[in-house]
Amino acid sequence: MILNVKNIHAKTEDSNEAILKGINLQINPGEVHAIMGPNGSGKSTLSKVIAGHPDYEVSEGTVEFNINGEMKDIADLEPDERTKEGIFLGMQYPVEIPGVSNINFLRESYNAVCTHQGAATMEEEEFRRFLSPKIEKLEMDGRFLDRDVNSGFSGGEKKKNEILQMATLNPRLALLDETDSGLDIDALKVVANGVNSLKSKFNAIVLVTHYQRLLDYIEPDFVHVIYKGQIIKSGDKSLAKELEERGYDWLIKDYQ
Amino acid sequence: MTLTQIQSDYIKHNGAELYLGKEGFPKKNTEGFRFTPLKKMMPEKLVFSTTHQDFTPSTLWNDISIKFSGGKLISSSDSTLFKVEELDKDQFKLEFKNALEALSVLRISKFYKITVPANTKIENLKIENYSDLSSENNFDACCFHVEIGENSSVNLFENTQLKGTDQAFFTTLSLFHIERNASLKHFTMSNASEQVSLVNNRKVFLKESSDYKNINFDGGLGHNRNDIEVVLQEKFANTNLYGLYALKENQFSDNFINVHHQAAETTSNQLFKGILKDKSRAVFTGKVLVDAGANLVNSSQLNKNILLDNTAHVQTEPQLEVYTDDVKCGHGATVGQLSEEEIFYLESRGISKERAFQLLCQAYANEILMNINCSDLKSFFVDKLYGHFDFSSMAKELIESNKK
Repeated sequence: MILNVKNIHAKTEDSNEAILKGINLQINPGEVHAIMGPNGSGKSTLSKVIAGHPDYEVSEGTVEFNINGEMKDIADLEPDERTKEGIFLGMQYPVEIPGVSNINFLRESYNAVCTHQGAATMEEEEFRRFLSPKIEKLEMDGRFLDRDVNSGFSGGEKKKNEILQMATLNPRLALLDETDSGLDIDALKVVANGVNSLKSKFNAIVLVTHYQRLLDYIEPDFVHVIYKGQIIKSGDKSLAKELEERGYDWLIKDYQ
Repeated sequence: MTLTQIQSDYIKHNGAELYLGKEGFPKKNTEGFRFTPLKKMMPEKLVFSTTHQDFTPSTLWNDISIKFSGGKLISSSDSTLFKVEELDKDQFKLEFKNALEALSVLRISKFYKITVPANTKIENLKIENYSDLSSENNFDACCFHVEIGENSSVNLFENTQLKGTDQAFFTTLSLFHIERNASLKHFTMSNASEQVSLVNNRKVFLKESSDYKNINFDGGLGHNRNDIEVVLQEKFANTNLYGLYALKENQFSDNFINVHHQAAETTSNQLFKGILKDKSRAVFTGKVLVDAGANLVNSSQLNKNILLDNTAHVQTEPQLEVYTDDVKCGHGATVGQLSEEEIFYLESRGISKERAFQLLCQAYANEILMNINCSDLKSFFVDKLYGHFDFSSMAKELIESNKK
């Protein structure tokens, strides 16, 4: 197993009501999981809690992640430490950081993770060569590297940049939060191809999405529906198709 | 206030000591000094003595340099590119704006005139300004006058290093005359122990098509005031004033800027950015004055601040005074905090909180630092910025507060 979420309850600092109310989820290497659900059900919160976002407080339950072959509770790990252990969160709204160039940001990130994992770091020139095929695969303009992080990028460019970061860090668990939002159909295919090429039997991918559309290109092994902070149904990819046709109403009516 | 007046006061007060608080020094209700704690900045008794030791200059730009210690010339590189003359202070022609300026001239016996002849290019000129105020001597001043000849261009790094164990006071008074088509890029930095207060008075006069660019970094001073006046006397003159202040503990930085557009078709740009921690305090007063008839002036002015603690304090007052119609003038000010989303984004890419703070502070400062076109000097400024804040304990504090 790579990730074991056990009965997680979480809330934001300034709210009393829990957003996640007892989520259980087991993920094994080589699997692709899709998390679906209506707006405000807690999909993004789940991925942020796993990544260690400071806005969320875990009041109950544990998140265990496989570190050196052992399942370990990661509650005490800072977000950067989780990333260094192999968790990656691709964000729904990638943040713009004016004043920090993309190349320096990527290299700093890559070297921090490599240093932690005992791998060799890279100087800029070597790192550019390392990035070059990844940039090509994502059909990105190489000049993005010398622009400030996400500054003035279009929605599609920002999402491609997220997948470029994923490709750079080669995580064991990638949580992709609405990576398909804001993408036109061509960009969606490019991003999906990028993600598919990173898939292996050693890593797992969690796709948080509203739409079946992404799942036409990245095939999930499991589909989970979150509603009011709980997983109310799990199934295989046919569940996503059913949701596309029937919506969520038939599933959530028993929980309202 | 004239020099004679202040001199007679000085004599009245017993030769070697000058008492603060008499008429003439700016007070709390004096315009331009309302937020400047002059009483805290100056020792109660100013003690003059003469100690001019040699010192170790900063490591870069030592090929062509001028060294002052305690306001006195210690050495000057032998160069055909410029000339340094020692002149009697009576020849320092200036109508004093306030007693602080007069005090600088009163303190010195000689001032220095640095002349760069016409059609000269100097890539790396440095002025090192040092003073040891740690013994009985608690007040020093340095006055110089720089003249840049027609069509010349100069990169000048002015580094002020002050030492002091008790409350001490240092003033500089500098005049710059920049002739037709000449340009001066002026990089300024000051370092001192926190007991030392520094007041820089600078006046810059710009002739036709000349250019003055200043990039200043304040970090590591107890109290600092930069009183800068730029006068655009003839058409097509341009000035860009950039200031960065990084303050912590009880540090204070005050930028008092006066840009005076006397001629038409002159341009100016001011950008001052601050990063403030603990109980530090910053004041920005930026004034743009456009004379009647100075049409087609283009001027912008912006002051931005980031507060790293809610105990830090900023007072910002951008001002415009325009006596003609056909101009374009903009001004603004912001006060904010480091973005938590940016910190998390960097962390979620494996970058530690400590490094995230560093990167974000540098990114914020980069809008100023990118104007330093010499890479060695830029690294010097960045290192000073990194060395200034204890990013590691800032990260620890945030981690602790998130856990609570």
